[in-house]
Amino acid sequence: MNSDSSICETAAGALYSNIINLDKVKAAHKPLAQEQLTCEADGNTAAAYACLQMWRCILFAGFPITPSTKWLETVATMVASGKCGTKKVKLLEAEHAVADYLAGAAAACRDLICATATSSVGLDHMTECTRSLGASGLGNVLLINVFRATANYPLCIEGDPSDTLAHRDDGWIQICCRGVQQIYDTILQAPCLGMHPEILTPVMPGYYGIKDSHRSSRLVVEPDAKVHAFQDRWIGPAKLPGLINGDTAMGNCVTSKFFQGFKIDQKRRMERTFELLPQIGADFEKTFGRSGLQFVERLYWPEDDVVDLAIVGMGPDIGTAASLIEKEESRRGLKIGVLGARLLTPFPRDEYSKRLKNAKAVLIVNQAHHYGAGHLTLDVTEACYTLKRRPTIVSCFAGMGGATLSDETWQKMMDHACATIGKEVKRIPPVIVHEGEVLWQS
Amino acid sequence: MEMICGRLEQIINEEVLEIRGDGRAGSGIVLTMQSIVAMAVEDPTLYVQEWPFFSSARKGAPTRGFLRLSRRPIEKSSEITRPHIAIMMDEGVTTAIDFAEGVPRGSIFILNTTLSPEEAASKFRLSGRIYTIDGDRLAQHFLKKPLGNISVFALLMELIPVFDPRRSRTRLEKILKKRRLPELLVKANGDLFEASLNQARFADCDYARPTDHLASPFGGYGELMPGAQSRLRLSRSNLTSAYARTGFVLQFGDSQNLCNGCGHCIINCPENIIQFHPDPEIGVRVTGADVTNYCKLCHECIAICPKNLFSEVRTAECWKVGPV
Repeated sequence: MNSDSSICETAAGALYSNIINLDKVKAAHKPLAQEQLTCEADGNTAAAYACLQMWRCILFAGFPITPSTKWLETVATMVASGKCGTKKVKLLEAEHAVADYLAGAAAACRDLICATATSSVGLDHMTECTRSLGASGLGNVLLINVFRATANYPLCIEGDPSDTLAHRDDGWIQICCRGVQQIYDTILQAPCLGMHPEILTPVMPGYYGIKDSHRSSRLVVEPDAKVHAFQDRWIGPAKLPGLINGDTAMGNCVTSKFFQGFKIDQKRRMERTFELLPQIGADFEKTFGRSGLQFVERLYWPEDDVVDLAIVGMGPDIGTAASLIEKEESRRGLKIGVLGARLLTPFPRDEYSKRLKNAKAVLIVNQAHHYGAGHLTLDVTEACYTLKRRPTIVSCFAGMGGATLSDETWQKMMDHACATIGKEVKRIPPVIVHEGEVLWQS
Repeated sequence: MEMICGRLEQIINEEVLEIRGDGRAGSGIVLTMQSIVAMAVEDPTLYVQEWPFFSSARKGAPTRGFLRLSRRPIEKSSEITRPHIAIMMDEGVTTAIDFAEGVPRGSIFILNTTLSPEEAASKFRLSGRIYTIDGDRLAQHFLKKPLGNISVFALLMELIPVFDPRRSRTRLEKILKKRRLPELLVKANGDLFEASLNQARFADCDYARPTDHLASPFGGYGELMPGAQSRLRLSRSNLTSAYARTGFVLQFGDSQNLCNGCGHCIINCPENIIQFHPDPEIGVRVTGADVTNYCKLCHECIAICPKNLFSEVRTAECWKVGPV
């Protein structure tokens, strides 16, 4: 470690100092951008640039899986070209090995960010380790998840958040992004959250496969020095020792009594996200002039939170909904608002209660298959449960497997939700909508 | 040309210009679209988004590219179904998909073909402004292989008035360098770009009947059978034979009755097209495969057959269409 304060004595009395000298790591960083740059990039490239710009991020591990492969290719190419200083890319034999490698590396030095990107069954393959990482307190692990349905039969490479939603209980902070700029910005902020001494929880920012991972657009790349100054405000030298300094962060065997303690500890740390995320987001906005981390993105939403119909969804498709609202409001004579989910875990229920308190109906669009009402629906419904005047919850499934959400599909879902406004409805069964048609109703 | 440019400029200023292109994996449709993005990001008043659509199939399979361009922020992210400009990059793809589907009458069509605009409009029943450019021939000269994407990009640079075609060559070369193409090839592509300018022919044609190219309404998935996957897999819109290598076909030959009934080909075929009948001696006897619609030449049967009864042959050597 770089300073005397982080040198730690093990129980056996052994001292391991200066194994990793953070000052040297920082000095060896070669900036990707000396000044603000504008370039074209797709989601994977934007995510790769963000990782390469962080001086703490010197260890990358990966195993290629569509649609996240280009992240690994970009990182590997840049590192091999020598443009990024002394960073290291490790291609391993499978995702399980990647997760193990990251766990080991992250535990060895808690001050370094250990990053990978994966998708779908790749994330599933990491499961054994992701749950352990959730409990470990290794907030310096950064896993970029490119959403793709978790199955190899039928194999479908387009964006479907079933992978990330299947891993909601692994103990990671999960954040959804849309658009290249938001992907880049989110990844720069993610370690500030995960490595915050009060949170120490691994982070899993994610974006939709193909729909965003392969969508090219304008990307503003911030100068490395500015990125470092921002991150250094939030990431201090870890107070906890790493393995090198004699701590066993992983691999404990415990009795049930202690197991519960681990879980309570996990929850405590995770819940600190609610207070710190808006602070990090506000600092980001102040520094870079773009929106920082938020609980939800208010795409089309009034300041006073007064809407008749609220639409809640996530990912790039929620943008299509927002683009339609002006016309839909005048056509239907209703006030309609659109919210895009950003923080998925821990679920910011208070934020949703606050935003949805005046809504008459809430249309929740789920893009991952679920045998109940839908992952997002369950969370939003729970957030609305304590409201004095509960809105009608209308749950739809659309865009599963990354299917396109056309204007007609959004209009059909809005028809479905608007039909409940002003009526006494006990329960609306969820429906699957595609190309303006209801394909299935429970 | 000026009138079309004026119309496109108005769309970009006041609405969102939507472009859709169809080609085959490797035909360069994605590079064309990405090059437009690279041009657009240089102008801070322009908003742009581009993304491809492809399956997990290999080179030669149909691919689609989408692009939106506007002076207003673009929130919309759905697929483009009624484009202002439709591109056909590779004639081979027209057997698998309708590149003009949903394109409103009077729109712009850009075709990489040897045909004249009138011939192309008549063949594909198109109504609108038809541009044709023989990109394959031009590329054959400069790159020694038929690849229409640079010529189509050059034409787009001439058409879309917010870009300066004179700067496009430099920008294109920069993109190709970023892709680590050898210097000679970068220069050859630049020369190809220059040579493609002013090479397109155009005509206003009206060959589409009211029922042509209608965006077919989504009809659902029909009644599913028990173990429902097979009907979905064999859906008429997913003809996987389009993924096969052009000019080759699967052949089965067992004149000496060598099939030992192991059934490995039946189990391993991902498309379920192996034909067989019960046989009292060996259990099942394989008689061939229905290659008409679903054989994508994945080589599973060729690799697995212990008697080497399957092979890949040139289409010309196997004229028989249907079961082999």
